[in-house]
Amino acid sequence: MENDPRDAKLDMLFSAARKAEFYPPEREFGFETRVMARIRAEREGQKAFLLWEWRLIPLFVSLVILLGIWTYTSESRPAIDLSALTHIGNEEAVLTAYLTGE
Amino acid sequence: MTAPEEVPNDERLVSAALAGDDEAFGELVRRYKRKVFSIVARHAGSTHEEDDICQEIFIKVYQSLGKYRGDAPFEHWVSKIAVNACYDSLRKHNRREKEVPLEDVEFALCAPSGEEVSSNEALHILRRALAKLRPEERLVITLLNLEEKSIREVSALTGWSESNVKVRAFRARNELKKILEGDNGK
Repeated sequence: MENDPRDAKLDMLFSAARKAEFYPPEREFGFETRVMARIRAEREGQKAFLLWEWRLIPLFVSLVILLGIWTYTSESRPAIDLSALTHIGNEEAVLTAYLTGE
Repeated sequence: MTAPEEVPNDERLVSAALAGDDEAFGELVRRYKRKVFSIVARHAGSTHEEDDICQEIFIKVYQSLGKYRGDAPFEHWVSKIAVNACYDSLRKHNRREKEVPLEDVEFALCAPSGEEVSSNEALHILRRALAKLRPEERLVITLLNLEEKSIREVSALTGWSESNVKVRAFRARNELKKILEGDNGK
């Protein structure tokens, strides 16, 4: 690798490139203001989301209560029509009754 | 006569920023923006992305301030976040510009050795050639040859082992030589 003449030329290219101006200094102007504005905006966004989260709690609580009531009332229905069992060999009717809950 | 105002050190500014002092974090941004800009400018593919990447880096720094333990200088910690952000950006875009014409690049290694290349021209040539490398090759070459970091420093910044850095650097350099010679993929 040491004898490869391309290495010396490549190193020259790197050496020249290192002296170049990688970015214009004016790009830094007002940078901290832009960063702080973004940080504040993100923080405000998070606060708004958390506020909404708290506001949604009553809705979720009422949903859970309604689901509880619905489950309690639906349990009183017979799950399977047992009369279908009396027909020997009528497996399809049993299966339909089981799946539909009739 | 009033005593000169004491300049707070980084650790104190970090503690203040964690306690909700935006001014303290603003001061940290002011101190390290040049460092971050110079890292990003060497790695980013286009100048349009640079400002966005720099902002993302400082937002990440702000969000991770609680993880800063103070066992390494704050500057090193920020540099590590910046290098990782650049690598993520390179991987995300991963646009190896295979179809970019090489006419102005080919001369670089074939030119007579006495010929001087201006610094801006050299940077332009290198940027175009680096755009053809894989993200990890581009990262390692930039850190070693443009930022003049040591193998150990690159290993610490990237989290790769030192032997892995050496292997990647060797491959990247060979690939770069091929690209600059104009026989890449021919």
